[in-house]
Amino acid sequence: MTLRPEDRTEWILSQLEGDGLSEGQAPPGDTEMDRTELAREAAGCQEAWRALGQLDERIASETPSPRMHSAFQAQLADAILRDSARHPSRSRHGGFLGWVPSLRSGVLAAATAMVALTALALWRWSVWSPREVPAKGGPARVSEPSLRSASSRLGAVLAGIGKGDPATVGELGRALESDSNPNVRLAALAVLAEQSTGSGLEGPIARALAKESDPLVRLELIRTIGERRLVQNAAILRHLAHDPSLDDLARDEIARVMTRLGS
Amino acid sequence: MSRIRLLPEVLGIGLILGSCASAQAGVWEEHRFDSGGRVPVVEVELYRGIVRFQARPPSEPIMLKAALVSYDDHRPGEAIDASIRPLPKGALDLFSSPGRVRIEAPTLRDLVVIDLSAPAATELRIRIIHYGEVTIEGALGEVEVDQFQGQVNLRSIRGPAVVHIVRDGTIRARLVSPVADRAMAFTTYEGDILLEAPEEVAGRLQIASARGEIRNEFVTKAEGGPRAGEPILIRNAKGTIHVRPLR
Repeated sequence: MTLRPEDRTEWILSQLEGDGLSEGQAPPGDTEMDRTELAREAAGCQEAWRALGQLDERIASETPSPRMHSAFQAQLADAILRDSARHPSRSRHGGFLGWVPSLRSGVLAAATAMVALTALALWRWSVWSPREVPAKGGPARVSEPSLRSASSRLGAVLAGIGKGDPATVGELGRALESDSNPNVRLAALAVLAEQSTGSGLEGPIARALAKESDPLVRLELIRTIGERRLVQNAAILRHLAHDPSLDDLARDEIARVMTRLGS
Repeated sequence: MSRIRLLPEVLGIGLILGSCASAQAGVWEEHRFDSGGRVPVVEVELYRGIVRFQARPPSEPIMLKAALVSYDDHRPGEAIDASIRPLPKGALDLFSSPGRVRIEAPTLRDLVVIDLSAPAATELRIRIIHYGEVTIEGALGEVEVDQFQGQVNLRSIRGPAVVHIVRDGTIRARLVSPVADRAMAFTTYEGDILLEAPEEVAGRLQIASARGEIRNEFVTKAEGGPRAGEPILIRNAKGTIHVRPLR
């Protein structure tokens, strides 16, 4: 099976709302069988990437794990998207002068070019910020596509300091879950932790932790659960502790937080 | 020689302004782009690379030199002049539209060396998927660096800068006056961060380390004092964070 972050998120949220699986039952992708299967798939990915010459030694030396599998899947999807967006839409400088289309192919080429330019425009929109999502509203508008640079988005997030209104909190939650830049996600977490409490913080942190792959942001999420005593998030930490890709620091932090929460 | 592609603006109305020339000079592959009177944006995406930026006066074109260095033979931070070799044919993808240049080599296993000289106000967005060594000198525009591991060295910049190293690597940044009043961030998971800046930014620094050491030599501390501008975030999980006034 494939580890789907949205399944994990759904399970985590159902746990928070109290209508999910019974305590101790693992979320999708978290049973021993799932992990074994995913590790096997990750090993297969390793072989494929090694054959393509794209596997570096650091990853090659790691034990195949669900997280590694997710990383491979993401890279593969990214490569496919990039490839499919690139080839039909860009004219090659070197080949352009030598490419003299016939009349029939000219008509086809014109039609293809219109489609290709639209595809290219969409591709350009997403290529630098694959995690950005359109904002639904709110004053900070951190995830607004017009805020193209990381510094602009960082400034917009930090402008939320001291504002506790629901629109700002919602926008910060979206930035924490979806912004393409880890520094923006870190800042969103810091501001959110400063002005939200209880369920206002538990939901966004649960969703962010379910899909966060950056070790620094993940560590800060774990630390925030401990510092703000978010007891409802303890179940997520219990499952995260089994992730074989975690390093010692993150594992220590989870143990420390679990002790603090009395779990 | 690499493929040079024309990157049209949305709906395809973009036209290349000025000249776009390329030439092979020894081992270096060279390209020149005119910025068309705009503040240039240069985007770089590599799998592994050494990126060096040198600021030029506003009227100067964007000059790019590219070559290759063996990843297996390279030691972090060592001189590369003796070991560079030409890029394989077609290895570098270049996309250009008015005021915008994008350089891509996301699949080459070895280190792609990119030497850029461009107007100081150029906006730089550098993404390195695995190992990188980035040195930026004299930039006045926005600088964004995101890489998995390696070193980032920012010399005499005014910012704003947003730098992140996903796993392990060091960041050295030297901000000079007047420092841009925009939000900035310097973060790495495991590694040292050294920030030198004018005393005027002391009130903007927000420093935190999960298990590392913090050395703050500024007289003014941000805690409890009035903030003098947008925050400058400095974070790591392990390693030393050292911030000090410019000497």
